[in-house]
Amino acid sequence: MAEYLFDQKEAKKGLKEFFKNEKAQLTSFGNAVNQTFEAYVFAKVIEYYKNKNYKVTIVNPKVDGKEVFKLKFSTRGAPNKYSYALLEMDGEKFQLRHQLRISTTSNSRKLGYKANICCDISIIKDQDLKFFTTNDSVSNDQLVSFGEVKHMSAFAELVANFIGLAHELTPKRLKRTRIKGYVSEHIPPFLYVSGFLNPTAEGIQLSIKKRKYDLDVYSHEFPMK
Amino acid sequence: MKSESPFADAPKFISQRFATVKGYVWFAFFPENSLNKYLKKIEGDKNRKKELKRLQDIIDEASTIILIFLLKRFFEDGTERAKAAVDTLKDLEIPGFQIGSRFFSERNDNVMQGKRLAKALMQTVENEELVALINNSKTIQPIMNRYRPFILNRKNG
Repeated sequence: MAEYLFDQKEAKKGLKEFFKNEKAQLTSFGNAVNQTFEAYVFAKVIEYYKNKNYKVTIVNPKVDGKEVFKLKFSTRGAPNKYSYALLEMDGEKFQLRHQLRISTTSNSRKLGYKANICCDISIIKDQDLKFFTTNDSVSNDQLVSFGEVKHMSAFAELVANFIGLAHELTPKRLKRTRIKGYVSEHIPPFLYVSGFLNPTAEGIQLSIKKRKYDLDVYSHEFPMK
Repeated sequence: MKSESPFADAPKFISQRFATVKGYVWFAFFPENSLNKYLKKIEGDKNRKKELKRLQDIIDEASTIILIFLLKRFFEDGTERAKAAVDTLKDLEIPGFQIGSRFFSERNDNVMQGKRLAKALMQTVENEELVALINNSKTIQPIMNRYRPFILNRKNG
């Protein structure tokens, strides 16, 4: 094996040893890393609204009569068993929710099956979800914005899939919105990947910008500010 | 001889996430169809094969460094994101968050686990120049730039 800057064989041996010696720690890290990224994005959206001078209050469920902060790291579960952030500004109230089921714009009772999507992040108009079960979804007209969170690098299909989600949930954002004078009171729908955008994903992302869609793609190189 | 995969003992979430690094490095040095175009310009099958083997060796080595760099960043990012999440929640008087049986708060072991793994990873690298190259790089670009002259050596020759 030719050597250019270093002994590759030694480096690979070191890596193998690392994986072997740290197996338990790596497994434990791996079991939580996706959820940690979701918690991070949830916190970043809170920051976004705080920076816009919204009053932010965390509303927690009660467990054994005691308030407990609990994020919803699963698509299953009734919303009232989990915490959310209440966002208030000028008498208007919104909820920032984690893994909340939202009806698509095309949902109809006539369909026979419910057309809804569990959003990693959603901002909805303030309302009482006390009696919602795990399968119930918030009506689409209550949805303000949403976010899709993926702990990975993005490829073209992932970004295209996000456009598909926007098409189902917030089709009005898929118009030539970001033109002169554009302002957005709420965070626009976003895809947040922890890794980088590979070249094919970058191409789709640039085409989103060219089409002036009201969507954002955040990544390691272009994080949410 | 085909080089052994460094992922042989890696957990699945690592091998799945980083298995494509080498493909990414090939693409970065030879975007689109440029490798084929470049090799076609070389006269004779034997010379083409020799050059392809040379490029494979360079890219294999560069990919190994980039893999270590990305793993280090992946672990460190885990800690940075956990820190950012607990700090934002702390401002709202929430002491931390729970993932399964683990509680993430302040700078406890769960929050700092990624940082500790990054340190353990770098302790396996003995070559000081390599340590410096990885530690001083904010993106993979400086690492790519260190290998570019080796690639160009024959490419321009």
